[in-house]
Amino acid sequence: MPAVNIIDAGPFTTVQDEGRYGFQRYGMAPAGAMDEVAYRLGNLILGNNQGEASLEFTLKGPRIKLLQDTTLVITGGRCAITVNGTSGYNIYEPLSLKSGDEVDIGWITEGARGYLAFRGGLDIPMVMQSYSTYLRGKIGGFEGARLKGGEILAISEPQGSPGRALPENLWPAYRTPFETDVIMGPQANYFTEEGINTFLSETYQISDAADRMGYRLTGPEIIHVDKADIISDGIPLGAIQVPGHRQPIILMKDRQTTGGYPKIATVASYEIFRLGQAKPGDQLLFKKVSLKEAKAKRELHKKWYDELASFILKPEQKSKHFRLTVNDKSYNVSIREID
Amino acid sequence: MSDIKVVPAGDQAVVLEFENRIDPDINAMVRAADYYLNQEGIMEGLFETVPTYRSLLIYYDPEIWDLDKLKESLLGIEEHLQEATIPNPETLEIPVAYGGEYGPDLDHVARHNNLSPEEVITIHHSSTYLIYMLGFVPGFPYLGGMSEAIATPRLENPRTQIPAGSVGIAGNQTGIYPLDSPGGWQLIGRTPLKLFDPAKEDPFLPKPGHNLKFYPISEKEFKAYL
Repeated sequence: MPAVNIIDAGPFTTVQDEGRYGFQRYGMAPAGAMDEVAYRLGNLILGNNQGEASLEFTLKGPRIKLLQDTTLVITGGRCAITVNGTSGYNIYEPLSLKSGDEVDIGWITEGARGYLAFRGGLDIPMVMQSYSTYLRGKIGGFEGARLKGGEILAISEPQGSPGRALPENLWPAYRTPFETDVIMGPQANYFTEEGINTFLSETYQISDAADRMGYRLTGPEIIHVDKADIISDGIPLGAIQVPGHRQPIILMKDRQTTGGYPKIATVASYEIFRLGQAKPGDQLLFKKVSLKEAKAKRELHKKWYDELASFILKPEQKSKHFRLTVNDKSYNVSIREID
Repeated sequence: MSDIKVVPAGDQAVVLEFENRIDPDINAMVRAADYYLNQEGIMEGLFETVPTYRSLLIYYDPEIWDLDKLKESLLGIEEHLQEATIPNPETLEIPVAYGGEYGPDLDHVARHNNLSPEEVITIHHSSTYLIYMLGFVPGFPYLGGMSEAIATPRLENPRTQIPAGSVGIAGNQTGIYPLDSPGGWQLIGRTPLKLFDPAKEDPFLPKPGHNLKFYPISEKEFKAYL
């Protein structure tokens, strides 16, 4: 049962889900959606179970032709969407389309990554408990690789019913410069006080060497106390390592699991999704937070997400229709709840 | 074992650090802590652990743990490690076809060390290696215990494609490429075993903290594996 033909994959498109956990001890990166929020909202809007496989595209979306009737949604970076050459379709809006329809997703104008989700999710084999493509390990997703165009992907049977579209004022924003909260360490003591001050006060730019593994940044040099080597240890998500060249590197979802450079700080968990929307040329500023502040902000982040989720899941304002008879006269009455 | 530390690594991970050296005894403590913490019912709300040379990265659920509580619990495991039964490390045996098309740099390694190729092979498979940790690519073991007598610098021009299973030497380290990849190691042989096979229920042959031994096989035996 063929379902969707990828006519043109766009610059860089892979299949992703929430990631593959439990194997970092064996050198396996978790992979998974760089912007988990946009990825999850896609499945939520379509009524899919969480964890269904979607396409993650970078900078520009794919052009596809549907080979069956389906509902799909595009989330994440802002982009123009055309269906059969007609524009005016929105991100975060479930689109009910027919077999034969062609969808073209344009260049992203805010953010760096988008998600194309289908009602039911992509029907691809699960590898080590995840659908995510991990390129370096050549596993998961569609044959362990990025889409090249010409693929035909199957779609699973729909599960739930689509929810409501998010209006534009509720779309997650990805404005630059990215002001990013960090928790200092685990090896902040490898840097001079001046080095730490530089890191926390200067602006850094994402270089062209930025992909799902990590982002190399350029900016004022961050000075080590002495060596720029440690005995290799585990690299947490969002770790910011500074090798001997004194420029920071942020490690993301496809990161190597271990490494031998000191890590000056680690990006707070609630900032990762937004950082997943950064691209070469974007500017970054780092702000030190305590674990207590991080906890408070993590809770705010969760509240924000829960509000978006409950908006999507709240049923449409359906009217109830009654036929009332008063003094032998019949009236058609509809009753609707007011927000 | 007095020198253990708990260091935050963001708001959902900590590093449990032992002494700052590469040493089999310290790595054994990492393995013990890793084994202990991953037992059922010991500590709820730990997601994933990553054992390395001298530390253990622990991802935790910040809804359950705050740093102070976690620190206290982790620093308290020291005493439990002595009473807990940590199974002995196992030894993974890796067959290797040395030399020829499988080990194009064997002669170079021999010449570099004033040895015969046969002596290099004997020295290489006589040691028992400790798998200090896995990293770099899925299934890649960082091995300790190679004899200095066969140490050889990396190639000046790395190869663009090295077949999976290649066994090589880089400086005073030996390793096995789990995947086809570019690389600059001196290749002395190849194993027909797959170190990483995602189709298997247990996809990884090498396990951190365990031992590894090579044994020589002929080209014919190599081909019989495939």
